[in-house]
Amino acid sequence: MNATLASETNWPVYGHDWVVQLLQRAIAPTGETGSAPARLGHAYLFTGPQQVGKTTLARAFAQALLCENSDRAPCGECRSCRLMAHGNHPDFRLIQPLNSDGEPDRENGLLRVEQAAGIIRDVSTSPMEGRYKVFLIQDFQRAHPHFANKLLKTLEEPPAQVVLALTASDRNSLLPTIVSRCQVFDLRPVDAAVVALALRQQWDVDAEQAELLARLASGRLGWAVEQQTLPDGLDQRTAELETLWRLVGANRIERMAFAASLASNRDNRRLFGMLALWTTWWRDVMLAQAGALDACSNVDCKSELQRQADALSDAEVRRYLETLNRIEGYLHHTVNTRLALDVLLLQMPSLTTHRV
Amino acid sequence: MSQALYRKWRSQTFEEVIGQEHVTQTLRNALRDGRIAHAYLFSGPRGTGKTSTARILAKALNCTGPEDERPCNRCPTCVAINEGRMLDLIEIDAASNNSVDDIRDLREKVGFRPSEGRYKIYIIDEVHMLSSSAFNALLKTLEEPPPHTRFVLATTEPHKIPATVLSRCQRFDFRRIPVPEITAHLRHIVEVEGFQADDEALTAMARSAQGCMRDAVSLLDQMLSFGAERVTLEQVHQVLGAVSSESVVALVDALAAKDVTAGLTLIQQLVTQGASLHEFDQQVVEHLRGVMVLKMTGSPDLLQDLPTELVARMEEQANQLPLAVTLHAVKRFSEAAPALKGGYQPQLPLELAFIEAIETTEPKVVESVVVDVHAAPAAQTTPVAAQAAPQPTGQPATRPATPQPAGDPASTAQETAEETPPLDEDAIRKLQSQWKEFLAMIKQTCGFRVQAALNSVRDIAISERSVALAFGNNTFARDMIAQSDTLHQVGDVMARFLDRPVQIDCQMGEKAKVSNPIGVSNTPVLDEGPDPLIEYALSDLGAEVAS
Repeated sequence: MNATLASETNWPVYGHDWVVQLLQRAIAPTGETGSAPARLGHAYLFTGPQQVGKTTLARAFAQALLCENSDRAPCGECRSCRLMAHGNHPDFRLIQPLNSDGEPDRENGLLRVEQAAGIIRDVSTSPMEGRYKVFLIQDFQRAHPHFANKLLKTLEEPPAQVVLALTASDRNSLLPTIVSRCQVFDLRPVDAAVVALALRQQWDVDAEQAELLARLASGRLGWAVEQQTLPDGLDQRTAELETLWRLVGANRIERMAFAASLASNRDNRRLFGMLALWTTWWRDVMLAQAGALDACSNVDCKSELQRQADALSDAEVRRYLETLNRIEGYLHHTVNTRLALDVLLLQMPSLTTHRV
Repeated sequence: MSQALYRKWRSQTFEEVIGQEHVTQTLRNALRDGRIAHAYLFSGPRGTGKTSTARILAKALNCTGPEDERPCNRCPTCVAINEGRMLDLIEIDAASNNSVDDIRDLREKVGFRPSEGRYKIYIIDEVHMLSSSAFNALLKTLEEPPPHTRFVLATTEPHKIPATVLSRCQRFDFRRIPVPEITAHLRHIVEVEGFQADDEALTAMARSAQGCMRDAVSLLDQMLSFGAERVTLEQVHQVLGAVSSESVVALVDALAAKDVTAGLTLIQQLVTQGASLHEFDQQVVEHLRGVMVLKMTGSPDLLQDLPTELVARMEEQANQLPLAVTLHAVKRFSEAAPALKGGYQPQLPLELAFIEAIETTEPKVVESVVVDVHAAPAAQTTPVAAQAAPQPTGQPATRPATPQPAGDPASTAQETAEETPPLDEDAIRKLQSQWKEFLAMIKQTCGFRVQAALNSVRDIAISERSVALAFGNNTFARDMIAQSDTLHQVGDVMARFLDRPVQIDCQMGEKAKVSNPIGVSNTPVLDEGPDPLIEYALSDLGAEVAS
């Protein structure tokens, strides 16, 4: 798939080399081809920030495990790999959080107790095609406590041919009893160079844009890919940044008007996208104030960064970063959106200091 | 597929249960004396041996081997239990069988005699997940089970168990297993499994497990699947995302040197290298704790489990870092841990913590505690009414609106301080000692309300002709006294008290000009800044000051 990065491993995964290596060794057969692997665990937990590649990795792992041809990497050609690619391998189960209508919903859905019952029923049957049955349980941090508890015994001692793969945002949001039953792989942000390379190779992004996207992605390849598949991903970012600059210089009336327009037709996707962008921006301002401008993400706006960094007080910027974080937390829960956004905008450091 | 190490290495005898001697010894004594209770509750953190001990107890009760060797792990019943096919050992997963119907089912079957062994043993694992009606359905059975039945309940969350159940069981609390014992066990496993491992690697694994054997063994399992000949510290660090202790030392060095850029660059490097920020944060906190301990105790006795070179570095840093900074840094980095959940900018909480830890290195803290209180940075929250109140000292009622966040009140105080002759220490002492009598006089002449307002006086300064009263941040009380007739009345009383005519000056803040405090109070100074409302009107609403 890509010769430079996963040359050794040949997994359809960018970055996370150490995990791929470990998993590969885990599924490698003890003796001749076809014999059972010696060190395969029964439960794996992949944790890491959103869109860093947890599910991609877990899928690749499942594919490699189920692949008929190769013992180490998914070949991509056998029947099993093709079934996986189309998402209907009978021995691979994807369990996702569901909303109250039973539709998959990764943001607000829950892993429900009925799903756990389904898993427990499923693990006891033999695989249909290959040697293993793989269960991929996504977003375990969204698990209902009953779901998690119900799975404890299954996670501890599942039948021999069952492998469970879990993904979660971080291990601290799970029951400690769940974590201690799994081999945990804490995925870390992918190196910006790898992200840029992946974008260039796999998605034909030109070099300059790939570099910028990689910086902005802060290690989340999924985010970068998503941005570049959107028709106007980067244009939108520029527009949002310009709005932000305007707001920094605006008085309270304009800010309140902006909050009102944002709150009146709340669009979660845009809202949280904007918050992410703002966080990146203010962090860059903070870095510029600390004299570490080179580490910033918004590499294309260094002059504006420096300007704001010089004009604003650093304590104010830091306080605002915390405010951003807090308000983002509030907005994920049920709060008065308008109120939260008002606070968000009123506390923003201001360049209009025409005091009398 | 091979069995996970933690399943393969489940303890099979009481001796093999590590770090829980207080439990195993008691159980063995009970077995010896034939005084096994009918119900046990095993509680404790995950991976400390609850389920294993329950199974060992089941084996011991049904073992047909010689009495002092039980469980022997050789007799048919022991083997059957080890292989998980003993009919008289009923292991119930309460988390997935938590309804009252499951318990009713259990109650129906509990009366039947055991099929092979002497006892029928029910192990109810994760018992905290039973529904409340299920717990209640179990009560009678648990209180007086048939003579051939024994119950073992196991849970990680004993506080969720109803008191009525707790009182029917003998409770054993499993404790976290100390690092050396985990290390020794890991070493044992490594040797028997035919691998090699560095001592530091095993210690690092044991540490990260935080007292839970299963975590440690799981991690070892993961390490062994690395496939290398030897498990090394670097490999463990890589899997844990931990960083070498040099990086931690370097960060603390940067903190001591107040080198923001170096610290931020270091954090950035760690991110690119793929370190786990959570782990790093924890390491930094541990390191700073070491520094703190050294600073407080002055001897490395409490840090014996750390390598000596590291302790030496800590000692150097302990000399460089002031205590206040160390404490603040520990606090700030600990606070960062829960925030490191991988938001948009995963390293942001760490960077914030670092910068803020450095900020305290500046003498802010010291300043506000000692010397000149007026020069201390003023908190910006200003009581709104403060500005408009008339000033009895004859100063203009509206001050120049130029914002001087910290300097404004200070200048007022200094001006008056320059005008007034030196302080009358005797009078101050007199007033301080007889404050109660003074208040009583006030109550008589001016009434209850004025006395109450004067209660909030924080500090007094007396010179030849004037008395300054500081009201802390209580604008309400100050304004009340500052009303001209009240001021006259208080002035009269004060004049009688001091035997000379004086003018009363009501001030905000903790200190009345410069003098000895009477009220012991260390609350932060709330100074008058520019009125935020006026400022807001001016800057945002386009208002103008009329006169």
